[in-house]
Amino acid sequence: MARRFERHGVGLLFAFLLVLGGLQEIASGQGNKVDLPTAVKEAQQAGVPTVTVNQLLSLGYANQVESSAMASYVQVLTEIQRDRLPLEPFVNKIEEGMTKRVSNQGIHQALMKKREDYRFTQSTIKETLRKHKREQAIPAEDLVRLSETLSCGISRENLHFYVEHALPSSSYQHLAITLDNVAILEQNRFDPDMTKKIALAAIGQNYFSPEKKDFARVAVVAKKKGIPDATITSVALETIQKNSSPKDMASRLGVKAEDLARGPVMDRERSRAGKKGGVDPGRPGESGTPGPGSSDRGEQGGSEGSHGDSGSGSDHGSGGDHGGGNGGGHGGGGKK
Amino acid sequence: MKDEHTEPFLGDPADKPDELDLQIIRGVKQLRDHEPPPTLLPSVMLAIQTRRPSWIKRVILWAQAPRSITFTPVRWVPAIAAFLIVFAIAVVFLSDHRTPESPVSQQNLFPIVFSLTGAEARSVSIIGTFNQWNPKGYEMQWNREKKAWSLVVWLPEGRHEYNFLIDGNRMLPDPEALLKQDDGFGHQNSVLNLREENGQTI
Repeated sequence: MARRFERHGVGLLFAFLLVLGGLQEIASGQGNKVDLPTAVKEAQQAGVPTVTVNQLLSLGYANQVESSAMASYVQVLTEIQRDRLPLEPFVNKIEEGMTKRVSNQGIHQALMKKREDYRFTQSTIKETLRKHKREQAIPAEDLVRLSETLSCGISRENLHFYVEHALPSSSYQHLAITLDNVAILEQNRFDPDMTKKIALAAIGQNYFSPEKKDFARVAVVAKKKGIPDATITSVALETIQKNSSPKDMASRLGVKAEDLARGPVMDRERSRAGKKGGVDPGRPGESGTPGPGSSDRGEQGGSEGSHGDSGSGSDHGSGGDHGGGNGGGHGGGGKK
Repeated sequence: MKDEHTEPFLGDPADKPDELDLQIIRGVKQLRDHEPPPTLLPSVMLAIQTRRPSWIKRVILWAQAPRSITFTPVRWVPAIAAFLIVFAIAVVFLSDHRTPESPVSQQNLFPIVFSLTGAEARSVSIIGTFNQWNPKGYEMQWNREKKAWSLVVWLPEGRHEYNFLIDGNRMLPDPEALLKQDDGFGHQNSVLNLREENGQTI
């Protein structure tokens, strides 16, 4: 009996390990393995640009990624192309994963999650437009920006909610700015119901525009100063109703200009110089691709705060025009 | 005067001219000289004249023929000096007259100042989608006065994700960035959206 169990036990264990391995592969989405040349051929047949494939292959070569993993990445790109989704965010994510030394499986899972986010956003928008008997293509950069909010804390439920409320009367860009602002408020633990009220008011008024980019920053700074969410919401709703500027909102909430001078900011002086042609041609980062940054050494930036450039950089004090600030990420973009 | 045929024959006795040969020789010597007809020379010259090849063939022949170039540096000094002067003037002129339509501004690159304070570090770099997450060339500078690491990076419009790389091995999202994003690998990236519209850059 014991001998029979020993014989069958080894077989069962082997079978169990086989099944486990198969399940793991299926779970990681690598069940349908093909070799790299076949994967590349399929990608090209699907319409993945050769330059993208080459970019990916050279990345793999530089990071010494094994060919089976490369084949799986190429397969993912093929599927993305067939889904008519923008390839760039996915290539960027592979690139990011490789340079961050993430395992191949980890990168694959991140790609799968991203693909699902993009598919969800695409289908949500299409369904909403279909309800209104409209069919219009979604620009890639808008799809990118809307989909990426799902990685910024926006739930699928909320995305669906805001898409239904915004489209088709609002533009994709306005919707994207709104969602970015919602994400900022949620990340800063602003009351969800009040956040929703503010966002719906902004959608209804088509409030968000580049001039209003400091809106979310004002709300966040006010919250950090200890002002209750209800007070901030009340002032924010009034600001939206009157189509006032975030500067007015800031003054009503007691937020100073220097409080807003946080995060990346645009160096206005350099920008002006660049447009007038006074740019040092030798400075890296100006030739085609955004190259290496030039050392700042702190010449620009205001006297207040290490980040602040309220003095010479941007003019936060006069309406919050701190260009580089990601204050809510207003504006489209989407492209990298 | 002595006739040639009367000279003693020194050759092979077998080849010694006989009487008939001598008669022929004598006859030939007695012939009168005739002037050639005037058309003879042109016709001969025409016959032996080499024809000029077509210009295509001449070009091919010219191109196929080996050439040697002699170069005397001293003779080129004025030309090189003139070229350098013109080139320098052109460079100065173009750099001083860069207009908003020049390539730099067409790309809509914006100088963005990134700063980091309160980080205990020997070195800080910035990495992100704009540099393929490669820190090389993106090392931030320490400002003693402000006690901050900072760097200006020229970025195009669009959505950028980035992080600070501390001492080359530790990643840190920008503590001052308003918006952060899950990177899908268990960490967070800072997000920067850049777009210019109506003269406003955001």
